[in-house]
Amino acid sequence: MALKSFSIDTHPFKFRIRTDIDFVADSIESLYTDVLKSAMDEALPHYDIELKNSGFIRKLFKPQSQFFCDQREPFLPMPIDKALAMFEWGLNWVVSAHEYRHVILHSAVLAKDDKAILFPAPPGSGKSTLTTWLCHNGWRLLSDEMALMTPNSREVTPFVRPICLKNNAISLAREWFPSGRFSKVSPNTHKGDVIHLSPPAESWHARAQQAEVVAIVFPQYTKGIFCDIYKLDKAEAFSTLTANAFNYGVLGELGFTTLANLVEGCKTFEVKYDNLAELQSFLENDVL
Amino acid sequence: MSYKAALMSEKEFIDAMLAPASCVGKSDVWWCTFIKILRFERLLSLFAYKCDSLALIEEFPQVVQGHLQNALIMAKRQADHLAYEASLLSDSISTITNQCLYLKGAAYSLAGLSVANGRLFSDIDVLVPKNKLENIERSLLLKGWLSKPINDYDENYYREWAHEIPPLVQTRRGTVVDIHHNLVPPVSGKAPDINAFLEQTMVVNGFTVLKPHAMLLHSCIHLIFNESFKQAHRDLYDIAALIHDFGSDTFWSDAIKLAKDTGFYSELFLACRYSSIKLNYNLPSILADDIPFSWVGLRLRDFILGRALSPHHPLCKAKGKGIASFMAWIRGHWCKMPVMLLIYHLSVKGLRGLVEHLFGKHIFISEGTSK
Repeated sequence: MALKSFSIDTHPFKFRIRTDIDFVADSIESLYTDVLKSAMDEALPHYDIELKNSGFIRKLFKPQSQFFCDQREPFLPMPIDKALAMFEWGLNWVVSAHEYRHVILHSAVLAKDDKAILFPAPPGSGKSTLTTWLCHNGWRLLSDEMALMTPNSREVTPFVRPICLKNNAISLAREWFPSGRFSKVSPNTHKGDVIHLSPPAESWHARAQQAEVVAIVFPQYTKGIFCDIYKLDKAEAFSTLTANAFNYGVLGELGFTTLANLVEGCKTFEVKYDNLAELQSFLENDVL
Repeated sequence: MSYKAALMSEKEFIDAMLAPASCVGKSDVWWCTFIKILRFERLLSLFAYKCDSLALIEEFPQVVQGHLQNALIMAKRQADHLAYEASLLSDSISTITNQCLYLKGAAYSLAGLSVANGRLFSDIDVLVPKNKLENIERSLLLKGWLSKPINDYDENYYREWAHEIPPLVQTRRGTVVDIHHNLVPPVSGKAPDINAFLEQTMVVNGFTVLKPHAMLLHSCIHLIFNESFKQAHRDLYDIAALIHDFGSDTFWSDAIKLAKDTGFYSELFLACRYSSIKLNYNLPSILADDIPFSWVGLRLRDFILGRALSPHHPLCKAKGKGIASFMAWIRGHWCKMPVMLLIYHLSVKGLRGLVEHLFGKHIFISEGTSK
């Protein structure tokens, strides 16, 4: 296993990566093609990341991967077949553990004409399937995982990265978008089987282009319900949003006012659906 | 092809720390290394604070500006949060005892001292009477402060031999509190009559803290009377700041008297010696000329401690760092324990180290525990 290194310019953070795990290097090169650079061309990345095949005897019988951000190892090692998922979650950790200039929400963000909608949702709500659908149907992906909000504004900064699809969504996405750039499956993680999908080139290319949040939609995939829409009470939207904020505690009052103003200034909905085209048409005709 | 990170000498690192204006115009490769060492040594926010006071941040590359701004926000937030957390702690502890003495970083910040500027702390240290420990632990448990999961050997180490109980973590807010009943482990045979320190306290903003000369002595004891020097470099800056802010003649005579009365003069001498040598300031002759070691003894300590107190990030070069750290580690244990106990302790730790080296360092962590 050769040591490979490269850097990725995922605005607003640049990472330099070193790994001795071949399939991880290949996957990153494929998923991040649009923003990939040689490591030699990046002298001052925000963070240096290393993904290593661990241990001396470990390598022989139960190989594991270890994630490092410089000297820091935030997670326990994982079996080597989950190394790519570990890398992706690791990058999320790096950003949420160090970044306080933005209020960070656990939410998908998609935009059309720089008008953005936040989709904060717990795992299992179909958020990433919705993200995949929209960004392949005329919308721009800003993020599948985290919304970087400028404090006291409705301005959201993209952090474009591969979309993380789980379990049943994997075959669905492969069926819809057979030409998509999919990674190998990381089997049996704590979220089930996961796969990563590189978003379309348009999303990558607009990765430095901010957008304004106009609505917050809490999606809930529900089999048998075509598309039901409920207007969501502001207080409820606010409390759900704070529960999805990564660094709300660190930002204190600034975090509070940012989220309060955001909820005040946006339309807020809850949707139950099993038809994505119908949901898309509602978003385009009634929300934006 | 793989990139190569630049190494930085200890002197270059400290010079930049002491004179942030000299960093303007440095190369990207230089910054990349400097920021990593700063973060690792927990000095990023102190550097950010200094640069902010000098209005320098905007002179630096974008990526560096981002790291420094984040560090400033984090340090400010910690200070705000500490005041809140400490008031809750004091409320709980005051129902059991009126002796609740804040130590180290928490004390600097609660008392509003400038040494707290840009200083992060990982836990809140308080000192309470030994016979009240159990009651306090129980009362804090009701407020959501639980013991971190640690292995049996370490649990026993704390309970039998240490000067503190295992750290308690606030389950909702994640804050960590270390409850001490002495400044050094009683098993070392060097634990002072704690009343000597309790007589040297003051109340500021409603919180009890040590007076500055006693703060300095405690910081020195904490630095030297220790087996782990992994992140000790930062403490040299605390010592320098306390001396800079309070270093009057009475401050020094009080510090030296307390140190001699409690048997910690060599710790005071050594910590101030290395802080002043490395960070380039002068000590008064009342301390500097009163050397408690032979010529050889002092040179030996210079070799071990002088190097152990260097930055420990692998990109920071200091000659002989590895062997000196190992010797410092042995020495730290030597001070803390009688020799038979030391042999036992080191063989348990050593065996674990060997097994961890062979099978990966996470072998002793049960599944499902996160770090």
